[in-house]
Amino acid sequence: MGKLLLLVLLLGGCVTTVPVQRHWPSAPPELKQNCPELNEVPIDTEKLSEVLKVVTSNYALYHECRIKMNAWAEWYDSQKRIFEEVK
Amino acid sequence: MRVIPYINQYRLIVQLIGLILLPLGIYFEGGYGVEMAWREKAKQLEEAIAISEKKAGQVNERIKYITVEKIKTVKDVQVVIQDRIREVATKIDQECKVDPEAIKILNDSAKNIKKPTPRPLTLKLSMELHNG
Repeated sequence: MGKLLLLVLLLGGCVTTVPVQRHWPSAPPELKQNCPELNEVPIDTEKLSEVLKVVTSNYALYHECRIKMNAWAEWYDSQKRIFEEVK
Repeated sequence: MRVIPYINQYRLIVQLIGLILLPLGIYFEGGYGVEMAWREKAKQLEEAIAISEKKAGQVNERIKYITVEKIKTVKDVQVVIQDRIREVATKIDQECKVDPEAIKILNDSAKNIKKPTPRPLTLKLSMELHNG
């Protein structure tokens, strides 16, 4: 019992809590917006120009979504690199 | 110790106390050194974290700026495209009439069809076990 107490006492010297906390950074809110649904052509139209307007606006939605997606990937890679630099 | 007359009579006790205090002192000195070393390490780590948090903030700002600028460019281009369509709309509409079936196909392809997501196998198994 005495030996056990001595051992606990001696090992107690090795117990150290490091009061350092790390937080994973928050992403910019601009990246957190969901990609919107695509627009649909009014069903009663016969004009090709109307169709063209909707199709091109959908292309724009795709480009916006692509930019956000690529930004997410870049954000994650950059933050991971910075996070792993601290050791 | 023998030369000090008063202490000499308590020599054994003093020696015993010394014998106890010496290892205790060494132990606490070691503990103090380790504690100080850890505190120094923690301080260094805190400094490194502060630098990394600053860098992370800079990355956030840079990515936010680039994203906003790129989206603005897309919107600007879209305005130009819509203007161009308006300019040639009469000409396009005169030469071509769109069949409603084509519009239906186009709209169907634009729709986001949401299928029910299949449950992962592990979840299914655990639910089956739970339900008996």
